[in-house]
Order: sequence, then structure tokens, then C-alpha cells
Amino acid sequence: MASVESSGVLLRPPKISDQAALRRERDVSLWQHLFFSLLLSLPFIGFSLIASQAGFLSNQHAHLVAKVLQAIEYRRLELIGFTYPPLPFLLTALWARPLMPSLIASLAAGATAWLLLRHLLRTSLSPLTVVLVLCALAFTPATLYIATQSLTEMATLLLFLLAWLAFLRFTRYGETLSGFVSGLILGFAFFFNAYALFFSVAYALGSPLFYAWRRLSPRERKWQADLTLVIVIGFPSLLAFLSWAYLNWVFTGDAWLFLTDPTAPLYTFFSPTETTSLDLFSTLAYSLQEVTRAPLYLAGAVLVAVHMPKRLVAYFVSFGVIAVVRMLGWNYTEAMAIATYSVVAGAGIPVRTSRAWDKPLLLVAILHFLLNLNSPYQSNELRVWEQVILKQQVQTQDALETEIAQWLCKQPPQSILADDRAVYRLVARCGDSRPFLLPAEGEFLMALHAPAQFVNYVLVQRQGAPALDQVSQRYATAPPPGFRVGANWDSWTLYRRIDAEAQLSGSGTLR
Amino acid sequence: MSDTASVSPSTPKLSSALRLGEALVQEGVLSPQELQRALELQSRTSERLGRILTSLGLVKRQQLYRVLAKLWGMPFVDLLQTPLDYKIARQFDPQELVRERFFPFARGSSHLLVATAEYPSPALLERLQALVPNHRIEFYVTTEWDIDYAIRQCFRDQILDRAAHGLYYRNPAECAFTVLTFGQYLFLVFVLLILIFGLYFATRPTLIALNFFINLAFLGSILFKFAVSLAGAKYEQIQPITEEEVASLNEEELPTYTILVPAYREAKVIPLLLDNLRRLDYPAAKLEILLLLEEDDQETIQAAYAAKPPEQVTFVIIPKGQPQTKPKACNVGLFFARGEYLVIYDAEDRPEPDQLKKAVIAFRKGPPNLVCVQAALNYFNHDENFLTRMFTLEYSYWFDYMLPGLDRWRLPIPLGGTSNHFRTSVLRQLGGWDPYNVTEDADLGIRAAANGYRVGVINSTTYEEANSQLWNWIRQRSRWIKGYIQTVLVHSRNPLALLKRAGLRNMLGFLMLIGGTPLTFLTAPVLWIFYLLFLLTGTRALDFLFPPLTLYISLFNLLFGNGLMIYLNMLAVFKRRYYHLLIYTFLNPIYWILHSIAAYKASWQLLTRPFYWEKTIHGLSRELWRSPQTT
Repeated sequence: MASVESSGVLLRPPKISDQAALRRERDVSLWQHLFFSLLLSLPFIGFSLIASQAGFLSNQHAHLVAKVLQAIEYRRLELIGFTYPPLPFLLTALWARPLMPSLIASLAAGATAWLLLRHLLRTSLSPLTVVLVLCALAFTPATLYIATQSLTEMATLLLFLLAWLAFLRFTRYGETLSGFVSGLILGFAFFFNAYALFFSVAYALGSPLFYAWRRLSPRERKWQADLTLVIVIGFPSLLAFLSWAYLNWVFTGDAWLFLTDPTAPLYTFFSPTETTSLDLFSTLAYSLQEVTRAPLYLAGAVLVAVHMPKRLVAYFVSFGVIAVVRMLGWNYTEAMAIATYSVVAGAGIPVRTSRAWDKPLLLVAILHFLLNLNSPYQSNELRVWEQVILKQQVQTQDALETEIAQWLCKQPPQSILADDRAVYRLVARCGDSRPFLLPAEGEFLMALHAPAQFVNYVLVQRQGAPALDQVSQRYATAPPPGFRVGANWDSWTLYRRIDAEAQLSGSGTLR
Repeated sequence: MSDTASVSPSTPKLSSALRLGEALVQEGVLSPQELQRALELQSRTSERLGRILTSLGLVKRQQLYRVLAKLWGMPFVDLLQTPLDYKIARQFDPQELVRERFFPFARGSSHLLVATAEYPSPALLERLQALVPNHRIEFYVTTEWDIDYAIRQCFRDQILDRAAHGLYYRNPAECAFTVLTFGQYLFLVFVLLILIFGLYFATRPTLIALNFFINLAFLGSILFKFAVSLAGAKYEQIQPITEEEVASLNEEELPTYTILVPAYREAKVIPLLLDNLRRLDYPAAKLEILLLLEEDDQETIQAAYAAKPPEQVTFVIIPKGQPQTKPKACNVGLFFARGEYLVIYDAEDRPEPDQLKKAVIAFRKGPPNLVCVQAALNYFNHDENFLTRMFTLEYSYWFDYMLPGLDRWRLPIPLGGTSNHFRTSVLRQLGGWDPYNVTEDADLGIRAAANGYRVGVINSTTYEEANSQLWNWIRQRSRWIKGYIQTVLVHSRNPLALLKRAGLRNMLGFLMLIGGTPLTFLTAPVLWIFYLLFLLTGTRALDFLFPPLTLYISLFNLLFGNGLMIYLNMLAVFKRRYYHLLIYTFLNPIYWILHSIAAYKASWQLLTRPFYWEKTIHGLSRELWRSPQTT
């Protein structure tokens, strides 16, 4: 240890055992990580392709693709209101097609599976148990859905896992870099999911509990050291949060728009329609009931309690955050909750777990799989997706949407007045936002007042249009002056300008 | 004392069977117990007994050489009391005289008198004989100090000239004596003309382009620092030199180490300096401490004499002459240095005791082209006030994370002002320090990299005094920034040659680090003013300066860049457990404003007084006078 006589300063002593442990953790190169992540993402890619072939497109991915298409058309991010969360949006921009977010989510799922596999292989469990536990965690409808149809949430889970692993290195071995990496990852995760802030606060506040303090010198104060840990873990998320609020304030005048705009936060955050419960006890009861559908999570808790009881608090952070979020009246989807518990269960099983736990864990894994396979999910979209995967049938709704989109796509640029808060699925399926005159366009407001002077068509949703869909709010019940009903598809109505040429002969269904 | 007349080669010789120690005992200079102690030390270090005895203070230098004179059967001469004839000495290269410690001091019609501090070798005799064929060579024994004194007197102008212009004579392109070369003038004028032309004929596009490049430079600087400091943090727990390696060092095999301590107007600090040097864990007999004192600084010279330093400390009086800078003094020190390795310490420095040993190990373990290792610098008065806290955070971050990161990535390392340890021979090959560059240390690090040498870091710290007064801080910082600009100008004179010699990676690292620092501090106020204007007035008049790409980069810099810089600065508190300083990292923006003020001062001074060395006043800290154990 480098004790410094002349200064009284005590440098951090690197313990040899710590260094050896860190070396073991880093015995795989980056390329190997990438290779195995890619390898393990293949099943998820397969599921993505099956859903895509069947015409399934999740709301989240449709929203992402629609926004990206607009960004590409206008070449200015701020024109479309700094879509939150920005990173799924930027990733989708690499190839603005409905399949793209599913592919990236699958890669993230592969990387998550690989990290969990590595972790589980470091225990003394038999390889068979490890593989079955991993399969039980990964191949439930909820996790598969998140892994293939929810880029935002899957990427968030991967980042949480990476942050957790770095957090462990930080608190166990005192590796400063890992603390900073953990903080940075949590901050980065905020650009995928606003709940990262909650996890970040939880980890930050928990870090003093777990940090393996070496001997403090007499002049050091414990509270200062603890505060340092809290700030290092929490600062990046807070910075990310405030930065995004600032951007919203500068470009929209409302710092919290990214949280309050019903379409902006991608269906989870501040989305009352999806909210399960606001009541404290019923929320807790619901969350507890949800946990019982993740027996591996509970088994993980038992193992943590046996091997390292102090860490039980950290293990239940995920449960706490989910419960708190729901108590606050915000939404944490059921599928995301199950997926979160699955990742925490996989990462939380202590390395010291002995082979004696092989059989019990094997049984719990089978139970976990079966319970989840037969669980009725609240989310309609998830149920539809399950049907698509199980029966591999094209859903009528999807087929119709695709057909409408294909027809709309053939129209001249900016000839259809619509609001992307309602028509994002059609824009995404179309693969091109140019035929639409959308709110991001400078002429939109003028066109809204006098559509006849600007467009040939006005597209509205008769029922269930979002409150902010200005076009539907105005014209859902009656056509704009100079327009008449051109077509009615499901809940959609397309008004055609009277003097415009009738071109609605493309498809019988559309007629 | 002897004079020339009394000097005679027929001095009675002591019995040749006697060894030095026995002779000293016989002469009554040393007690048998003291001899025994010195011999024990000698068996451990293999150092010459004479050096051990003087370093232990058991024997005065002159006593030692007088006895040696008797042993060798030669007369003793005190060169300080003897009129010296410089003509014959000037036929030698002074470096040769220093190396072999002899000085021809008088010449008669038939004889040449040569003072020596070493037993004359046949080769030397032969060389001297060849110079004066028909003369008898008569050797006189004298002390090393006398030899050095004679050399300084004889070669005063030459030493001064070498120290001030040696690098320039060697390669003018590597010296900051010429601020701008003709080519650089032309280039700058060309750029300026383009700018004026652009502003006149295409004002908006020119301003947009300027704004874009400023923002891009910021982004590059942020990402570079981020990547390098995380690389440094990655290896935080890996100690390049372990305690075990230090403990297993065989003192016998340790080389002579020269310590240069330039001190100017630091009379107050001299006693502390000696105290700090005494704490070094290195065989005293193998230490050569050269205290570099300026001729016109009588106060410090008096203080140095009054401090009664141990025998291994040599005062080197730097002849007065321009430029009167620290690097010039160091070059004079380098001229007299005999150590295999050499290090610079400032007068108020408190190096960790095992630093020299760690440096020796680093050189032994390192590649042959490792020319220098830099120890970390930090401050003992970190809690004195806002400035010292910020300074400590900055230094902890820089030396504990940035430099190790640069080291890991094999990028050029700008040396810190002190505690840089060199292979003396290679330092001489490189031309020593540039006396016209006011950050001669940073320049030397870059020059070493440009010449294919490596600079590394060692896990040892020297504690210094952090500047605690604002104006003093700005003076110091403006000198550093001016030096960085000088260094950029010097090393970018021939970019293609630099690219060829140093490689793209090193060149980019150099530009990002040395060029990026002044650039960001100079341009930051422009961006701050833009931002303040927007915040206070909500004006959209500046919107045209921010087309999409520039806007995104600018926003990234503003929000995440600044945040990242603050966050990275938090790293600083970990290695040294300065947890109480963490909260001050949030005050970095204020500290950056001070940097910008210093940067503008530096730029102005580069135009008006390019070589002016703004002396940092030391000895201001209250902590300085506390014992190291209590700070």
C-alpha cells in the first residue's frame, strides 16, 4: 500500500484478490462479447421476423418509425419536438423500416442473455440448469414480447444490467471506473426510458450501503465519502433529466412536455390510460401478485438472502421502483415488469450458489416458464402478438392497416392532411411521411384552417383519436368545406376534396 | 591553503598499503567507529567511500581530498585561492572537464599544472601531453567543487550561451526563440486575409463556419478528455511500480542520481527544501543535489549558505544573462550533472521518499526509448481556500487519471513543472530545456515524443504548494497557457515532418491536448456571451449561427459536455480520497472563467513579451510551515 508519509494521504489500496477477480471478469474480449451476443440474439431475431412476416407492428415501433421518417424528411430534430426518448429514435434512424427497432431490440436481448449466461456460468450450478434457467427467463411471452417489440424497454433492461454489473464492481472491488461507468450508463438509460432516473436514485442511495470501504484515514468523514458515492452514481441521470427538460423548455416553452405529452413518452410514462392502479394497497397487492408470476425472481431472493443478506435490499430495488411508479399513478407495463424481474433474477443469483441448488432451481425454472406461458396478459397488443406468434396468422387489423398505408403512400407529397399523433401507424407502414401534411410542417396550421387550399385529402379518426390530434378533433364528425367523404376504413375516414380526382379505386377493401 | 609556489609534486606520499579509510583515521580526520559505519554502508551500496563519508557529514570535502592527495602522492591545490590561467583550459570542451573532473590551471615554460578530483588515468595524461608536447604534466589534487568552480569561472560565457542557445544552435526549429517562422507568418496572414475577405463578402457563411469549427473543437476536446481519463481510470488500481519492487531493490546497484533544484527569490523556502530532500529514501552518497541559484539573487544565495546544507548539495550559481528563466538555470544544472538519472524539484516540493527508487525501477522496466517518467503532482495546502481546492481537483484529475490515460494510449505526455525524472544522457541528446519556452517542461515532453522517445508516469507523488492568491494564480496560469501556445507554434512549424516523426496518433494527441487547451479557453467566452445573450434577452438574432449540425453539437457541448467535464473532475477525489472536495467540482464553471482570463492575458503577452517568465511567488501558504506529518 502506498502510504504517503509526507502528506498523510492514503491512496486506495489495490487488493490482490480484487485485481484477480476483476481480471476474471474481464477475461472475454470485446469481440467475443459481440460474437456471443449476436449468437444469442438469433432466436429473438427469428421471433421478430415471424411477427414482421405476419404484418405485426407494435405501437411503440410504429411511433418510432413514423417520427424517424419525419425527421428524415425535415432534416431537423427539433421540428418534431425532440421526441422522447431520443435514443430508440436515433437507432431506428439507421434504417427507418418497421423491422429495424425489432432487430435492434433483439440484439439488445441477445446481449442481455449473454451477460446473464456469463454470470450464471460463474456459479457452481450445472450447465444444464444454467441453460434451462436462462431459457425460462428469456422465453416467456412477456420477455419475448419486450425483446422483440419494445426497443425502448429492451434497451433499458440491457443498460440496467450493464449498470448493475458495473455497480457491483464499484461497490465490491472499489473500482472507480466502474462507478463512473455505472453512473454514465444509468444516465444514458434515461434517453431510453425515464424510469432510469428512479433506478439511478435507488442505486445512488444504496451505494453507501454496499460499498466495501477500506480503512478511512482519521481526517476522512464517512458522510462525505458516502455523499461522493451517491453523487457519482446519481449525477449523470440527473444531468440527463435536466438537460432534456432544458431542451424542451428552449424548443417548446414547456420543460416537462416530454413527460406530459401523451404521445411523446412512448406509452409508459405518464400514460393514465394504461395505468393499473393508483391506490397504495391495491398497487402493492397487484405488484405482489405479479411477482408470484416470476418464481425465479423469488427463488433469486431466497438465494441472495442465504448467501448475502445485505444485498437483499438491492435485489428488491426493482420491485420497489415498480411499485412506487405505479403508486404515483404512472404506468409500468406488466410485460416490462415481468421482464425486469427476469433480468434481476438472472443477474441476482449469487456467484456462490452451490450445486445443491441445482434441482430446486430447475423446478422453479420450469414453474416460471409454465406460469408465464399460461398467464392472461392485460395488454391487448401483447395478446395479439401472442396469437400472431402462436398461429402465425395475419391479423385483419394489420392487413387492413397495411393496405391503407400502401394506398396513402402512392399519393403526391403533402396531399393528405393528418396528425401523426393518430396516423403514426399508417405513416410507419407507408415507410414515407412525404404524402402527409403533418403538424411538424410549417403550413400545417394554415392547412388545418383551410384544407381545400393545401391538400387533396384529410384523414381523421372517427373514434378513439388522441386529444391532441388536431385534425380529428376538428373534422371527425363533418368534412371540411370543399371536401366530402371519400372512404371509411374501420375507424378511419378519408375526406376527398370535391374537385380532386377520385383515385380511390385501388382496392376493394379500401372502397 | 596552498598557492602555486608552494605546490610541489614531491609531496610526501602515504604508505601505498594504506586505504583511504585507514588514511583518514591515521590523519585523525575520522574515528575508527565512523569508518566502520561508512564501510558497512559501502558494502550495501558499493559507492565510493569518499562520497559516503562526505554525504554522511563525517568528513569535509577538503579534508577528504587533502588525504587523497597524500595517498596519491600529489600536492593539494585550492582553486578558489589560486590564480587561474584559462587559456589552456579553454582548449578543452568544458563538458569533458566536468565529466573527467580535471582542470588545467597554470602553464609554465616547461610544465602544465592540472588540478584533478580523480586519480589521473594514463589516457588523460596522454591527451594532455599531446596538447603540450614539450611540457611536464604536474597533477594537483583538488575537490570536485573546486573543479566545478573553475569551470564556471573559465567558461562562464560559454555555459551561459549553451544554456540559453544550445537548443537553438542544435536545431532552431525546435526552439521558441523564433516565435513565428516566416512560413507561419505567411500562413497566419493568409488565414487572416481569408477571414477578413469572408467576413466582408460573405459575412453570414463565414460566421457560421467559424461558429461550427469552434463548437467542433470543443466537442473534440471533450470527447478526447473523456476517453483518455476513463482509460486512465481503468488502470487506477494497477500500480506500475509496486512496493515489493521498491523493497527488493539492491542499493548496491543504484545509480548516481542528480537532483536539480532551481530556486529564485525563494530564500524563505530553502530550509524547508533541504528538509524535504533529506527525507528521500536514496543512498545519500549516490545523490548529487544541484541547487541552482541566480547570480543576482543574493538573498537566496545567503539563505542557502546559512542553511548549511549537507555535503552532497552543490550550489550552482547561474550567470546573469537573458533570458533569466528556469529552463536556462536547469540547462546549466544539466551541464554539471553527473548522475545517470536526473530529476527536477521546485524549492517547496515534498516528494514521496521512495520516488527516486521508483523512477529507477521504471527506467529499468521500461523500453530503451523511455526518456522520462513523470511523478504525480499534488498539493499539500488543498484546503486553504477556493483556489487551492479547485487547483487540487484539477491536478488530481490531471496527474491521477489524464496522464496515466495518455501513458496507456502511448500519447505524448506534457511534463509537469517538477518531478520529471530523466535519463541524463538522452536529455542532453534532446538538447535540454528550451529557455525561451515558458512551459519548457510540456515542450520537452512533446519534443521527446516527436523524436521517437517515450515519456511515462510513475505512481509516486510530489506535494507542492497550490497557488492560493488569485492574481498570482492568473500570472502562473497565463504563463502556462502562453507556453502551450509557444509549444504548439514550435512543433507545428513543419507539420509534415512532425507527422512523419511522431505519427498521426501522437500528432493528434498533441494537437488535442496542447493546442486544444488554449483554444477552448480563448473561444469559450464567445460562446458564453452568446448563451447569456440568449438567456437574458431571448433573442433569436443569433439563430442563423446555428444551422442544424452546429446546433446539435453546440447543445451537446453546453449540456452534456460541461456536465461530463464536471463529472470527470469528480474522478479526482477518488484516488486520494479527497471526498470533501467533491462538492467543489460543481464550481468548475467559475474556475473555467479564470482560465479564460488567463488565456487572454497569455495571448496578449505572447504578442508583447513572448519570453517573459512570470515568476510564481511561492511560500505564501500557511501550510508550508507545518510539518509534513501534520498536513
